[in-house]
Amino acid sequence: MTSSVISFSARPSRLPAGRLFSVVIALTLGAVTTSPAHAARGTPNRVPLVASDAPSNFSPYFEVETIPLPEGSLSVDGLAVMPDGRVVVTFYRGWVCFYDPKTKKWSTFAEGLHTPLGVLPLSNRELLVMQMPELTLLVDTDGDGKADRFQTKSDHFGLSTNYAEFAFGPVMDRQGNLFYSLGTGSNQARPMTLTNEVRGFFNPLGAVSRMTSPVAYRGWIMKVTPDGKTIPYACGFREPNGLGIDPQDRLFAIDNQGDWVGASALYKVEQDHFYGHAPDLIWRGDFQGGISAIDTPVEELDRLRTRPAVVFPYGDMSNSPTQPLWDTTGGKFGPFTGQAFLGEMNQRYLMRVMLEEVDGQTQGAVSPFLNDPNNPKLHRGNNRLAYDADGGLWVGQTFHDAWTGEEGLQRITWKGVVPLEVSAMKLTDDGFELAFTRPVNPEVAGNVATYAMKTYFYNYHEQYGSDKYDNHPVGITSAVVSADHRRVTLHLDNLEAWRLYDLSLQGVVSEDGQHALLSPWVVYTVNHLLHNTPPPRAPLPHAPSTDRKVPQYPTPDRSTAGIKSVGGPQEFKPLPDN
Amino acid sequence: MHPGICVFSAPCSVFSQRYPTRAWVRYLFLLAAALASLPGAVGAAGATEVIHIGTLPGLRFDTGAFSVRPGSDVEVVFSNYDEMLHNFVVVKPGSRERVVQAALALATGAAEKNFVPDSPDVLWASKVVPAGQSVTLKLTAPAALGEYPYVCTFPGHGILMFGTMIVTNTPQPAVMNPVSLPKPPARTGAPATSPDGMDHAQHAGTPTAATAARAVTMRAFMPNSGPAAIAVQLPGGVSYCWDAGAGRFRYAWTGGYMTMPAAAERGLAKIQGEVFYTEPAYPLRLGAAPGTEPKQIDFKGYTLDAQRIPEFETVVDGVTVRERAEVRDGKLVRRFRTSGEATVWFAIPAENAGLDAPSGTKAGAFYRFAGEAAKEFTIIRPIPVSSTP
Repeated sequence: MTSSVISFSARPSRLPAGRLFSVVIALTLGAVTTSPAHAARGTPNRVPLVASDAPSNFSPYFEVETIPLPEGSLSVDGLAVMPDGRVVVTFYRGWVCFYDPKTKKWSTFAEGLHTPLGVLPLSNRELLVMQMPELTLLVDTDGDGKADRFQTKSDHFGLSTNYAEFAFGPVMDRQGNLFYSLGTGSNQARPMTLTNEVRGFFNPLGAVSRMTSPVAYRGWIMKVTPDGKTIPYACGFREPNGLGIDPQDRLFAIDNQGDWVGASALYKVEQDHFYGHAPDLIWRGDFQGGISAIDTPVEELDRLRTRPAVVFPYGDMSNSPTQPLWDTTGGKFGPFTGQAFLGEMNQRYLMRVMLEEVDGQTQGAVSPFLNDPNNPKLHRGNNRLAYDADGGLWVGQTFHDAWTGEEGLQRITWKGVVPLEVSAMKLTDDGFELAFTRPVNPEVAGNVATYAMKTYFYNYHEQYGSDKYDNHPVGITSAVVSADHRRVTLHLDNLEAWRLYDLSLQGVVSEDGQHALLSPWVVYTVNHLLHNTPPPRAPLPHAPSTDRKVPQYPTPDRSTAGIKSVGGPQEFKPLPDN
Repeated sequence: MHPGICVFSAPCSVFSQRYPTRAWVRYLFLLAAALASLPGAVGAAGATEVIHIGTLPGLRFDTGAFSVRPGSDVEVVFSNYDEMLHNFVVVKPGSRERVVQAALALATGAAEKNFVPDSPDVLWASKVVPAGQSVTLKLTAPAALGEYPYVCTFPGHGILMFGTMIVTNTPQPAVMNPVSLPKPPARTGAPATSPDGMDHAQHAGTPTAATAARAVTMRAFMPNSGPAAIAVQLPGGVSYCWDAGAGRFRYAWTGGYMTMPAAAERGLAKIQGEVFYTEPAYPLRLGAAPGTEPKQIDFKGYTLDAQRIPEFETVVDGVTVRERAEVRDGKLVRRFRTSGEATVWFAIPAENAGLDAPSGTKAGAFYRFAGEAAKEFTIIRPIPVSSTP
């Protein structure tokens, strides 16, 4: 297979066109004065205008093939590989289509679905598809290649026609439990709901914050048991566009930076835990007291929440991470068995996550994967991942309705040559131990000047996103190379819990000098230390940087006037109007 | 209300009619500035020009182009009304794509740099502006005439989100429609045909809608329905809305099918035709007496037959109810099938012209179906002739 050219041209776009935009008067106005910038610096451009056919730094190891999509430009919202090897794609426009890699032909299985953001094949004739209103089993009962039965598997959640109430998943664990996740609605949608009818009980106390949960279980992860029961499983998510099950059968989910989410992150999800996005708590039994969860002191919410296993450096590495997929190919995709790959909407690369257990907690590191800004081969909009039986990694890309991505379908294959990468980053008593996929040149790897490390943390607060707090360099006192030259232990000046440690490695090469380190950037989220982890620091009062003002949200309308609830979960009693 | 164009430095909100006023006032102002600077002054105009630029959803600036005089003092008030983060970067003519690419390559430290690359192409740059906030960018317009792009360099935005600052001695109104106006979305309009097509080529309002051999079933946010709505176009020129949340038929219309909103979840579908029948509430009662509405209605899905006509399935207080509609002899024929009830009642809507239930007996405000008829019955509604194509 040859990798095809990816040109950087204006992509055909799919944007909401006619929505009347009501404008909120900006409050303001911290004047930021800038002068003509960079006039004399003359930094050469590192990036060509058009990505060329030229090989990437990863081309000796990986190949990226671009699969032509069906006629017209389409967003890949869901992606999976069928037992028979066909690839199934759910498109934003509501189609479910198969791509047969043998014949290179597309065919249609179903149409007319509502924003199908995930697909899970149960057999060659049965597919679970997550639509905005429900989880549906699509069955081809007569074998003609088209779905003729659309069976509702789970719709026990509220829906209010707010555009951001996306539904993601499903994934299945070894016991046959299904999990899906429900995005919160946007307080900035105009209007907040398109009709005055909602599904499920409408609770205005959930219609608070930037992203809202006015109907049941928005911001929750739901579990569907093998006997068909839907159980609200965990909450505190904002827009969790990506679920995954790791090889130990544990559930993970990502979330996107925003209100109550300082930076996008990967979470290990456990039943009844709360992960930070406060409005969602209104649907939990212990938050039925008639006040909104966001009126709870932030210190109390902070004590309730479970922290992410891995935080993604916002902006510089990742804005919008997507689905995590663990490498279960047994080495067919290279030396990454047991690690997770994640899509990234805004970047032309994937991310690779290395987890470990520290002091009984799961945490770990993240590094970009297939990142060559000079000759990128992946599109943006990397939304869904799936392995085929040959260990090829399929990547579905979406633009959706303006998610800053691109549209496409690509397949990454490993060429059999082991690249030089950091294969593990493990916490030690006073620093980190790095493992490499190949023996490294000990002179370079043993020189502290090879490494640069900084540390910072993100704050927990209602405002949109967090700055990097207390961002400062960390001194590396020594770098000790192991006898087999595959490991380096970094001893630090100081190591603290509840922080990110951002490491860059410059000039690391393999011992034989044939391979340069592909990704010289790894960021480890230290929650726990090996021993004696101190309690997490309390949230800081939101301290906006000088050019930021506290955002103002529309005053939530805390009455149910005009909203009619029909069907859906009704088990929460209406609260008196106030 | 949009802040509008302010010719004075004090906040001004008098210009409430957004686009026309802005353009008009800007034009007047530029004209005035041009007149004031006569004779012969090409350099700094007397007053500072204040340009207000906002954002629109879908990665767009609300202003696609504006003009300034060479060498004039300009204040750009950039307001972010969007939900995403944006910056405002003015670059040298012809360098927009280069700057966007360089911003993408920033990698580490990009956020600290506000996603602005160290490039000689960058002339002025704002910080990243969070939602609902503004920054003011003060600049002196270049002496060289030309078109200077402005762009948001936040990762992924720069391909679409840009406009043009025109440095010119000829004042001209601002162009409010972004130059990067996107192409129409693919899901807009009549449902499109997928690969190897499933006979979806019917277009709203065309005769094919009436003569199509197969039904089309599509889920979308619909008017006058709950959010879990399903729109069905039947062969025979009738379409109807079925609400999966409420588990019931909502209304039927003749004419075309519907057009989809630009983005599937950002608007309601628009029906193409005339509603001729609306069912105001859940119609069935199960049991010996009509009683009250069922307590629990669970939607179980639907099956498609050879014509791809859907039959909806619900469980109503433990009883399975299947419902299918088709067009037969100019009438909308709805067939109900139930499991295990001796008597089923159908509530007759107040608006019921021509409604018929061949196997039922009229009992007050209900049709009553008993015995075998309770297991399968039809409710028939004539389709208005005037509206039938």
